[in-house]
Amino acid sequence: MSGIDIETVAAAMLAASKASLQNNWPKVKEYMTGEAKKIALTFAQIETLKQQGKITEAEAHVLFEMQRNASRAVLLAVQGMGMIAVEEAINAALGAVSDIVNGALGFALI
Amino acid sequence: MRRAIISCAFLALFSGCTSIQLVSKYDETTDKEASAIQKKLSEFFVRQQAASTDAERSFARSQPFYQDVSASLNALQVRAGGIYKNSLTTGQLQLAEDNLAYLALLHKACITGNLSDIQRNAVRTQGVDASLDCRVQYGASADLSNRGGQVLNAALLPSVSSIFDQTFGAVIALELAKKRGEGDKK
Repeated sequence: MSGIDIETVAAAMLAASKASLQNNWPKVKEYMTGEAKKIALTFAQIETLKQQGKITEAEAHVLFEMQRNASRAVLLAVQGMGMIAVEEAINAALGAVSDIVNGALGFALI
Repeated sequence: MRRAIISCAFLALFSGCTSIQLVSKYDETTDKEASAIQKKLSEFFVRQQAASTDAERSFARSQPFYQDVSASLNALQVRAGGIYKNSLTTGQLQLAEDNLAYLALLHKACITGNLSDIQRNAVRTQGVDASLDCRVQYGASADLSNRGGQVLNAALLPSVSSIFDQTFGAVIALELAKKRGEGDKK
């Protein structure tokens, strides 16, 4: 292990993980931005239908509940995309230093 | 961040693994089945909008649709539940099933007031009631029989359709994200 420069390894991993996150986060942000608009639009539609008397109060309550569930499903997708981005960043970091670590150890560990 | 990365490096070193996995891998069946269920729902909403008589719009006429989609969703949930690190997708599918249960309750006009936590729990635990009755144990406001002639309020269709688009769109979006950049390579 003495052949491994911890500062060099850490810096290489940090650079690789940052690059991976920067590549992935815009996709998550784009998805969330689009879905947030759809969610807001549906909430507005429900409110309008209720005010116009086209749906009953009970129907409005159920629609709101259904929209809340749909919003939760969207947030779970965003959470998963974020976790995948982090996962890729960590794996990119590990991949970035595999040559250094494996070379120092003399066998392929990572 | 730096400390976390160094910790991960040592975790990898000591565990002997070459990569970590926080979310399940892409499952083609989940992707295709979610798309298939969404298509059935879209077709249902189109049929409802195009229907010219109450008989065509009735719950009794739609009962096979509810039975079919409910069975498909249950099968997909069982499959998703058996996949490693797949709790986010199983959570999404549970929310989709909840919404299908609410749609059936709306169609039979089984909800007559504010939703209570007891009703929400009933929907969550009992799932879709594809029978022709309103049943409290499935989240209805009261036990009522012979609701097959009830029709879905046409004013609800655009919002409900959009809600299911969002729900299944989220399931599919997450599944596609699990490909982990494969799409970028094309």
